[in-house]
Amino acid sequence: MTFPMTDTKLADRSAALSVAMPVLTVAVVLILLPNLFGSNAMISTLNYLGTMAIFALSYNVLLGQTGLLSLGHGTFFGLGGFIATHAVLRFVEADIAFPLALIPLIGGVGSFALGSVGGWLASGRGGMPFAMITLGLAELVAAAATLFPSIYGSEEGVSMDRMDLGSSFGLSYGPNVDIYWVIAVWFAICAGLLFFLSRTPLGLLQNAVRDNAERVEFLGFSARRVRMSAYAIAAGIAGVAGSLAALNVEITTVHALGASTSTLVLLMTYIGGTRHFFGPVLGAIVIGLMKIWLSDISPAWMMYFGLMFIFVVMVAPGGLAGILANGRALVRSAGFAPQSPILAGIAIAGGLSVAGLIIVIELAYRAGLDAAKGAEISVLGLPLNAESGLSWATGGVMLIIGVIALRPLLDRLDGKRHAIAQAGGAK
Amino acid sequence: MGIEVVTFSVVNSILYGMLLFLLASGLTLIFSMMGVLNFAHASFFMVGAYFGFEISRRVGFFPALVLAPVAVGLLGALVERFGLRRVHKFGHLGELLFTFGLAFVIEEAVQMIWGRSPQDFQVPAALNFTAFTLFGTGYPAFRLFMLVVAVAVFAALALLLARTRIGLIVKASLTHPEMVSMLGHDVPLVFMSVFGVGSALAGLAGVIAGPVLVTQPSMAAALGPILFVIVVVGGLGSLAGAFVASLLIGFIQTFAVAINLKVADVFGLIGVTQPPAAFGALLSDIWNVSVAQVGPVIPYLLLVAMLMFRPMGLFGKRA
Amino acid sequence: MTDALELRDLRKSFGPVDIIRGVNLSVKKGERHALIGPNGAGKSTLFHLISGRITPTSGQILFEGQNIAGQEPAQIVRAGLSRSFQITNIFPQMTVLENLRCAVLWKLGHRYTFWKRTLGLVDVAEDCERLLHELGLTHRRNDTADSLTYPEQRALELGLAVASGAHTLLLDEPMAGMSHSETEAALRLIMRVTEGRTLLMVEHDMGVIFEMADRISVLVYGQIIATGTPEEIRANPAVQEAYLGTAKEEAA
Ligand SMILES: Nc1ncnc2c1ncn2[C@@H]1O[C@H](COP(=O)(O)OP(=O)(O)OP(=O)(O)O)[C@@H](O)[C@H]1O
Ligand SMILES: [Mg+2]
Repeated sequence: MTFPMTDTKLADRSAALSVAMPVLTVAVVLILLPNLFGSNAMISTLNYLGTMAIFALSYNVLLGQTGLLSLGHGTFFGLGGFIATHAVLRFVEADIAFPLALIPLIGGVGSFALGSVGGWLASGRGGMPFAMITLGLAELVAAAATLFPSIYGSEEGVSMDRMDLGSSFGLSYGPNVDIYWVIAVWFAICAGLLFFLSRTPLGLLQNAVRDNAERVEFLGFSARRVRMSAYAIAAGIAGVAGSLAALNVEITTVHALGASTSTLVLLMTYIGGTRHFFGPVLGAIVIGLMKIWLSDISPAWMMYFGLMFIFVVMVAPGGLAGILANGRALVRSAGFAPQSPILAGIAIAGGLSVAGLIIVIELAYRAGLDAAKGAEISVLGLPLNAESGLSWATGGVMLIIGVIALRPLLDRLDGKRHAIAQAGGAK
Repeated sequence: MGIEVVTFSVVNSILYGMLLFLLASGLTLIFSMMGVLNFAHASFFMVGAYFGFEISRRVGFFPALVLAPVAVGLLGALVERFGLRRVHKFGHLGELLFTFGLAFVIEEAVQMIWGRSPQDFQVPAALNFTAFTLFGTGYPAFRLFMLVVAVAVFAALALLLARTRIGLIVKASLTHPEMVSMLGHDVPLVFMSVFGVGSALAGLAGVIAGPVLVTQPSMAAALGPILFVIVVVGGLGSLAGAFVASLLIGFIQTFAVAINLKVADVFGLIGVTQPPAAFGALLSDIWNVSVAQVGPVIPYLLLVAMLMFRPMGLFGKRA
Repeated sequence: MTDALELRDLRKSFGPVDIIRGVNLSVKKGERHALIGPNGAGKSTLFHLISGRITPTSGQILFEGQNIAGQEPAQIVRAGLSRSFQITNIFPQMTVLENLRCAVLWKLGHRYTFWKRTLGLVDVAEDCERLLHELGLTHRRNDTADSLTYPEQRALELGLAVASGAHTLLLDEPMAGMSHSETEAALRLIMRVTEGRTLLMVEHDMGVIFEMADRISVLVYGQIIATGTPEEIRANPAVQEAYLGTAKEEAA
């Protein structure tokens, strides 16, 4: 047989190229970012996004790669943070000059070890039992944390000073941008490791467990061990992310390992898209930015997260990455031109309903939670009033018209695509 | 611990357990019929409390006792019809994620409308008196009323299951889940009704619990995980199991608060009054742990242990 | 010589219902053994018992002399006994090639490797190419399994069982639901890929069975009522009465 050889060589070359391209892009972006956004506030935003991106990538080892819904991934983010914080405190106490940039390694290894134990407990089955047991473990750790104030601190948490370990690798770790470089390098390492993992036999088996765990058993493998490994690896990387967060803000609270952290990473990962390697990064960036910016201008930001999440679950399970990929494929396809008028109509109707929804939600917040701020409110540039029927009607009518218009447009799009597919088939 | 504390704790345990069962029964029904573990179930409980508060403010508590659950039931039916049913095609993961997102949105919506602080949901005047006095301590009538309502609903539900056509279908599906697929064209309607009734039960629990527990946006998140402990420990899909587990959790949580004991006290009995300093801060943490603090941990220990050693739960047939 | 597979008084009941009621059966090394029987006789249940999907209520399953009753499916596969399913049981969202890769990993000793790229494993690549070629799926290698046609999915199902390298195979109705010409092709495929291995196969198509089987066992209502060569089975009055009666008329 000759064809397999040439074939794998070709595959190898294109694989090498398809690996090199993203690696280069990521490296260039990571180096450029702090130069483009130099302000201290922007750097600390970047630091936050970086840790969240690592966190979301780790979560996707479970959700996207192995098909496991963990409701307690925040536990390992928080535990990683505590391990890192205590490591710094101990090293300072013992006067050991451990490089701060390597502290996340300790947090990661510690979380990995704890994740191995947790994984052993949780991995008997997938699906709902897995979700339940991860929820139980997370609640257990969170509830037990309050019993050990010497480890988890009291309400204020445990704090440290990242400069106490002295400088290393030419960084003093005083300015935020020093931490940026630490996070950027760790992001590259973690993303690289996880990308490599997804290309190994173990990564393949994780996909197999996602698709059909029972069949994996009939091929000689233990689905439990595959789940366990995924759980431990995800925990370890989450520990790195948690450590970086601890270095960044210099404080870790019990809050970090609670339900809200677990929820946040689920939202980020799923909204970003679980079927593309960098989908979770996209989700972390979009949700992270929304969290930082939107929370300043709207009390409804959490509501928007929730609605976005439900939208993705119901309409676009591929997440933002899936939407982008589909959109790109569509624009490149021959069928794009004839569809574009309908697509434009859908965009307008969709935009109208979203705008209407935003108006209604903002008004509702002003009428309820934020009533004390007065009825006057400006939404999307419109001066509105939470007590005026006209304001409510504006939002309501926009929403209703948008939704009503969407239905026939979507039907026509379906019809059009059908026709295009048939014409293509006839050729 | 005196006899009076024990007596009151027992009554309170049963009461709390029955309240939990009102919630767990709906969750169990929905799970056995539809295979969906509804993460938003506790949210319907919370919505019930808020609806109950709003309605009783306007027309009184007793109308609210009927109207609020009905409203919550309708809401649940709508959620099933326009939400859950559409994500069914994405499998169980899609359904789980949907109810998870729903719980998130409901919590936000409640804050949007009513704000973040607790509502002043009062015990109705007609029931605001002391039912009986034991050992010199009075027991509030409203709590007895809660117990009566919970038991009445339990009885009505049992009757409904035993006597009506839909009840028979539901019961059959509890023991033979594959039967549900043989219902024919009625399936969507049955699903919608079951989801609606389950939500209404949660709503009812919310109305009667609202004045006693605090009506606030975090009440769903506080109760949700406990509900899962109950349905898992009782055995997924088993009503009897849910009943026993509800009472069990009721007792654990009530008594943990009532018992005033620290690890240090135990050591005090054998004459050790100070933690050995050699073991440092961690030991002194353990030294200071009280039963009341351990209370919240126990249900989750139970959950994890159960899932590991007896995944079918106490009464379940399915793992 | 020990038999490849021997069942001794194997029983399985689901609650009060006895489905497998004392099955005794031996499959010789290298033989092609067909298991026939009416719908609901318990053929698939028997396969589930042998392959470890469910545990027997009582009785022994001797595989190459070792009792494997109650072992995990994975253990049984590693011991050298693999199976295919009546209801297609593949990895729907993975490509054909990825499906096969998973199936050959254990045999080639890569197991849970996480320090090497799958694409760099030459033995995996070669074995998968060979399998693709044998199964006639080379042109579909990069398509997801759920986009395959039904016969192609059945071929992949068979491929997963064969790829594990086991020398004893249980095939549960590999050609169910295929048209006549598809059945022909599938039969040739099965004969080819199971060359030199022990085969126990459930099949309804009498033509196929008499063409390929060395021996036939007839399972009726949870019991083996006869075992023998195709000619013996054809001539067996009990079988004719219980099962073949209709089939013979059709053939006539
Ligand atoms: N898990 C189970 N619980 C209860 N009964 C079962 C179970 N699995 C199978 N059965 C019953 O066992 C009997 C045998 O089923 P089995 O699938 O083994 O038959 P089969 O011979 O493979 O039939 P077919 O030719 O239709 O594939 C059937 O009556 C079936 O209903
Ligand atoms: Mg069968």
